[in-house]
Amino acid sequence: MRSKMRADTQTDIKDEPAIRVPTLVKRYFCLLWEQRSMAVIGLLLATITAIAGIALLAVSGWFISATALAGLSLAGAHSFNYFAPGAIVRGLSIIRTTGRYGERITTHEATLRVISRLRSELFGSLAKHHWQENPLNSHDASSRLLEDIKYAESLYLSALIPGFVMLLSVLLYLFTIMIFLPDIIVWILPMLLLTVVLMPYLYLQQTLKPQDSLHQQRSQQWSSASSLFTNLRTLILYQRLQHVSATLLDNASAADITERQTSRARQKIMAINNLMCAVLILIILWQGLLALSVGELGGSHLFMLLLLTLGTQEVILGGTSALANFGLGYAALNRINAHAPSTIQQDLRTFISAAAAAETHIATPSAASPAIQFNAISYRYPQRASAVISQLSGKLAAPHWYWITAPSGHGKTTLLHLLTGQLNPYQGTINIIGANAGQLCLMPQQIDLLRGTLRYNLCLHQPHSDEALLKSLTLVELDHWLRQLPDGLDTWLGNGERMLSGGELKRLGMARLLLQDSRILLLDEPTAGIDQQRAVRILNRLHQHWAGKLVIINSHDSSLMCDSDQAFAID
Amino acid sequence: MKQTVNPPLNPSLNNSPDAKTLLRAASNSARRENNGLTLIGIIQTLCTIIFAAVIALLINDAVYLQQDAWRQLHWWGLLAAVLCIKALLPLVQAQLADSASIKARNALRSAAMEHCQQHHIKLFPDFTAAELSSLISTEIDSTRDYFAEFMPQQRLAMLAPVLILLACCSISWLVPLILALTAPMVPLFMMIVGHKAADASQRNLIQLNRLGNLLADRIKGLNALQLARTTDQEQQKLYEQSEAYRHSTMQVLRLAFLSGTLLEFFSAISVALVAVYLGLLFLGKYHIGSWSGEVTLGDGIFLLMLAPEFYLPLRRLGPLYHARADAMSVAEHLLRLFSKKDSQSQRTPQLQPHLQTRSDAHAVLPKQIDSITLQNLQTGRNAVNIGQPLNLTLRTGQSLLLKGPSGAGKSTLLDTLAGFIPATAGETLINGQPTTLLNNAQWQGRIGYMAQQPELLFDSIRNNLCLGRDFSDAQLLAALTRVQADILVRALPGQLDYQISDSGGYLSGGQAQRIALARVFLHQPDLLLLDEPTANLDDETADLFLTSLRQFTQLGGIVIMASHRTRDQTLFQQTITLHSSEGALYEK
Repeated sequence: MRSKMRADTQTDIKDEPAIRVPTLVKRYFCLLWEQRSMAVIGLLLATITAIAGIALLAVSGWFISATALAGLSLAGAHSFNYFAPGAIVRGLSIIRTTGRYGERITTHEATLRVISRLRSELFGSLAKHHWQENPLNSHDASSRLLEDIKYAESLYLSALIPGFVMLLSVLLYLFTIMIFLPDIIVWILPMLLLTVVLMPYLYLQQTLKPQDSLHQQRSQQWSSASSLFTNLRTLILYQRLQHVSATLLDNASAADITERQTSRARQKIMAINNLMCAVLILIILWQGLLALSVGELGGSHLFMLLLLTLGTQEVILGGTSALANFGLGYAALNRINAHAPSTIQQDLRTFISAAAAAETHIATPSAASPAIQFNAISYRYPQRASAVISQLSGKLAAPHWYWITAPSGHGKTTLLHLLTGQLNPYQGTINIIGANAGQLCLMPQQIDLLRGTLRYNLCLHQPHSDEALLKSLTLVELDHWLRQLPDGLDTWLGNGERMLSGGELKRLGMARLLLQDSRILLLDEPTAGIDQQRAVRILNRLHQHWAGKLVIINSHDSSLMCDSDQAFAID
Repeated sequence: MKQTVNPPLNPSLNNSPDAKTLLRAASNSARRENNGLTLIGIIQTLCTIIFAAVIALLINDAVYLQQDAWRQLHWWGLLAAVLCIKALLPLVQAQLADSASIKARNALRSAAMEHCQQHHIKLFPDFTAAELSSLISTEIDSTRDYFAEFMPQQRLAMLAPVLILLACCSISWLVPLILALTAPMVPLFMMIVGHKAADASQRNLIQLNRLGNLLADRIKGLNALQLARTTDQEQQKLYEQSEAYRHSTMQVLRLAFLSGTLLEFFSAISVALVAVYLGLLFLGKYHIGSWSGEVTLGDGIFLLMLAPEFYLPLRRLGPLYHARADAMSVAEHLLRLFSKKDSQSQRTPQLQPHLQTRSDAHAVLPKQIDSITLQNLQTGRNAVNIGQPLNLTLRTGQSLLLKGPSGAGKSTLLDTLAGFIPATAGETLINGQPTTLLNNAQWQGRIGYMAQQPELLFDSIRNNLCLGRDFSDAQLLAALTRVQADILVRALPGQLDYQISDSGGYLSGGQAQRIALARVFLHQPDLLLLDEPTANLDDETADLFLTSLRQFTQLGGIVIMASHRTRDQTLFQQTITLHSSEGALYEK
């Protein structure tokens, strides 16, 4: 019956398309939507600011032309109402100033909020994945979460905003021209379409094409630098330091040159755009003067239209890169996405409560005590030809301690990872009896010391009383060490702070394990680096402490086994 | 008169007193490009002035005088030419700016790299390897915008307003006065704001570092959090830290934008003032400000078009604020690197140790090293003694174990013997001859070294084994077989060409250590220095490692190894226990 259950789960997984983490870009826009009020205010302010800026120029131009013409006759000068235009000019200049400030603050605030959320969510998705098969490159991962993610800001800040502002300004500009010089729309419309649509597209192409190779060159440069600084002694002794540094500098220059080529290609597009803008000015001026000479255009409007054109062009040139920035932000998020785990690993283990186990007679000696049963499990690391574990069966039941004592490379650690569900066997079944997933705890071979207080390193966000911490430290003989620490449990440990020796780390790992509410305990090389007498003392204490629980230990030092313990051979 | 010694061409980057000077010194390495950029800036401003003048003339002619001079083609030719130059100049400008930035960054990189080569391991532990790698690559790379965009724009921001003022002076004295009076307010306010912004951006940098360290640390220790099933809580913590960084960033931005807004304000208000002044002048409300008393529409147009141009270069500097802040923080970082100078290399003339391969300072070493003797050798770091003077002799095939708690000077002794750092007193004798070990390339060529973390380059296994010397595949495989790593290497994709990567890939710590040991067998050094090579290995792999070492001594090598592990003692003929306070205990 259980085998059928197992078959069901397998088909489930095959039928269901692998659950994909929603692409980051989608998620980015979801988060931006959550900040929509601020994002929209930013967009509005940006538009108002841009329009106020253009209008300020245009109105000023009209004002001086009109006053100059009015000033030609005494009557004209007398009747000219200069208060309203003066007030408008002053008002526009104030709107432009305050609008700009408000726009920048709101748009940045919205973007940074989104990125902050995105960053922690990405960490969450990294943290949900088991990295035993393909180890996580920690430098890469953290630099993606810290730096690369910032490119995402360009999606809203330097793509959506300037793009929208550009389009709106161009529409308003066309509208104004229609009013004053309807005949030249035929000339202007295609030119504007070119600058607003084609040029940003070309710019995008020039930007994105070399971006990947530049990115690759830069990360190559980082890894050769890192390679140099982590191997300094060897490089000096083999007289390779000069050579490797020269290579590093060459790599850097090569990347610089790629960067320059990109910049040049972009500048070429910008130059074409500048030229089109120049032509546009000439057309407006020429047609304006013609219209003026036949009386179709008022004298005071010509200079106004010219300044309007100049102001709009500044906005257009600022928006040319918007599409490319969108592309860059999109590519950056995709790049980060490609490294994020794409599937959520299923837990294929079967958990059977002690009562159910007793019913179906797969039974443990005493129904209450936990056990692990695995049937013909096989595991092979991806891209490896041979299986580390093949067709392994066994049943380990409390209250015994089991010692797995195969030589290294025979899959001891892999077996523990299979039992904890960090790896999945590609064949066979694993049954955990009398314990749920949370009650099966592992002390890994490598104990990670996190930068934080000793208390943090023991609790790892779980609530434990100081008494419990002290008790577990005493069991693993770290109590003397604790008393030496300047701030006791609040002493900072980890990188850049106090470091621990190999043996101390192992004992810290055991203390962490002791704090868990567990029924099945797996320990991977717990005594490496601890001297024999102390290891025996600690193990004796653990025997008492963990009475009635299932304990499985990976070790090649079988001399530490006591009489009641059993050996479990992998081969 | 006393002739001073010619200063070096580049008034050395590594002696700059502050970040600003450092960046300026780096920028000076591209003086030609910088001058070119200044010239282009002037031409651009002149084009703007000519453009305004021609427009003013044409409109004045058509609107004000109602004549037909605007139909004359040469004006249009001039206009087209000026507009073309204005459109195409940025192309040349960008090219020059990019070259300037490449040169400046190369100067920074070479200076930093040279410093690192000179001081190599003495930089640790003040700097970590990751920190230095980022400095040399990412951080210096990020100064591109500073050298390519900020610097040229900054020069332009000083030149262009002067030219525009002069142009305006040709017509009126009041308009330039308005501009000139508002202008000094800008630097004044910017200084006040900038001062506050500097503090805020310092705090922001601290927050960024905190966030970066936290991220790196938690990702490295992810497994511990996964096993404790508390990754969600940690995610929340990271979110809080990320939010703290956001708050401090916004603080900086609020101040930075304030100075930008100030510029906007003056720029907008100057346009408004000029327009209103001209309008009222035209309407005959007053007659002040012009030289002749007669102001035409053309004059007005010219002045109004130039008014926004006066502030334009300054306004363009605003968005480049980031570039400047980034570059300053990189420069501060470099200064911290350059400030790390050891007194030793300054006093002795050996400024470039690695170029001194065959200098007279080191006598030629004997072909065969039979014995190494330490006579009252006192080790230390930065002229501070560590441990006690040592006396001992090691002969071919012998091995010495260094014991003692961390901090007792085990690593210091190994580094001294390898010639990385100077001994503070005492002598070393090779075959009875006193020999200087410090930076002695000949001596270093005879040494093998292994540390807790196997030193492997991110390169193929082949290149890692050969390290620039020539060996056949057969020799490589023989060395790998000796440390029982041949099967392991054969199983890797690409075998000898397998690329070792940052993430470790398929190699476990023990396997990587074995490959490093294969390198030792391949090169057969006379002396092998080992700094706790077994600390990260499980007992079984460690024992295997020690067996291989025994083979090495049997082949005639000398081994000195520092270790905590009690099990390691069996191999060694001599043991020294170093104590930080008491003297060294020496036992045979």
